[in-house]
Amino acid sequence: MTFIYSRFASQRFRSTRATFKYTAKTALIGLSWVPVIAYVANHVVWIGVIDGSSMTPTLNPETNGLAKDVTLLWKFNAKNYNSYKRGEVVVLRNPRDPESTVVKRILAFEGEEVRTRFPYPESTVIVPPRHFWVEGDNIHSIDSNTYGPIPIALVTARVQTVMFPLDRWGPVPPAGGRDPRSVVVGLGYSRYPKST
Amino acid sequence: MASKGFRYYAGGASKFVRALAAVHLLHTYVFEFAITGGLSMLPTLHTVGDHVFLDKYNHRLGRDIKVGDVVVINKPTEEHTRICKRIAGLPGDIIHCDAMPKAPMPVRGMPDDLVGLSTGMTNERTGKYIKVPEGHIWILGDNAMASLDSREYGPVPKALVVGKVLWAAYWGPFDWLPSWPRQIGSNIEATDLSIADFLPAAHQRR
Repeated sequence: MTFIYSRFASQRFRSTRATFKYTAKTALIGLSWVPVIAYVANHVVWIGVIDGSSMTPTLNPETNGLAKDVTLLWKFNAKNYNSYKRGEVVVLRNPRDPESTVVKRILAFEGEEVRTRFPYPESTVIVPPRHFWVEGDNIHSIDSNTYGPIPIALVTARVQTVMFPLDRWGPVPPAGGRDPRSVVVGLGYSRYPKST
Repeated sequence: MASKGFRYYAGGASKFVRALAAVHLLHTYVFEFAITGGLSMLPTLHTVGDHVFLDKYNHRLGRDIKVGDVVVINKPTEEHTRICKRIAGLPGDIIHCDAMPKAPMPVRGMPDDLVGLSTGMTNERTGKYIKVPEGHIWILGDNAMASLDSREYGPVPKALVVGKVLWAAYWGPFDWLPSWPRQIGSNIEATDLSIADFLPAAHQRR
């Protein structure tokens, strides 16, 4: 065993115990880098595999459910509300199930009055401060029309580029789903409801 | 005499980065000490200077929480801010939303003369009995007359929960030493009757 190991390490160990000590030391040093990688994965950039068809045809256009798009998720600056543009695709924690995440497109910002779709109970709604109105490109998606505007605190990353499959490699299209001009009815404060 | 080379400083820097990342991981996923402030949780927490111990490992995304827990959540209407309130309703519970204190909440694009009228004492939820949707919780400050909570924000998603407050140690601004930590309990008084007993049979969960 000592001989096999030393072929990779190009060192000759005088005993099995010395090999063990070297292995343990290297493993611990490797383990100590895991929190750094975890920090990068949570706060800088990571890879995301898209599941589900709520963003069809922009992401996951195949209907067989086997081909999943692989995208680059930018987590740096993800909590900065003013850095988001209309039409950006974001990853957010599911408001109905905190353990899962969903991918949707931002259509409206705080203060804007939005024309909602079924099954939202009201026909228009004003987006609260620091919230987004998100919708999936697929007409059948479960999005803000079901659970209402989402706070920025739920957003974890923005989906910037599609990496795989290679024929769709490139930035995620900035438009898809409903046209924001038909979603946003106006700035809500011209008719802001007076509270008693 | 050879001076300390690049390898020495690079080694020190890499150790520092690794230590920092490990502490950050601990603070995000295991536990954290935080300082609370504000009147909204009187008399449970002091107005200033209460140092609390947050359990994140067990309660991070709203896992295993129950009515009566004091939790810290990310503020829905402002980024990089956290608020500390008590849970008054879990998904499926029916909550009465009463009037709340006036607090202007300006939003981008709002004309200045409308800022003070933005919340006032009532909103579209006031006076109603609301069923908390799945995946959401209803939070309420202990000092309800000085608290901005779910009566303003509505039911908040469980994913906003950062951790549960287990202990609080008061260390006043002019004190030399902190006081002994006290446990933050759930303040629940169990009685035989509840609103569930008055609901129609279809809504009773017993």
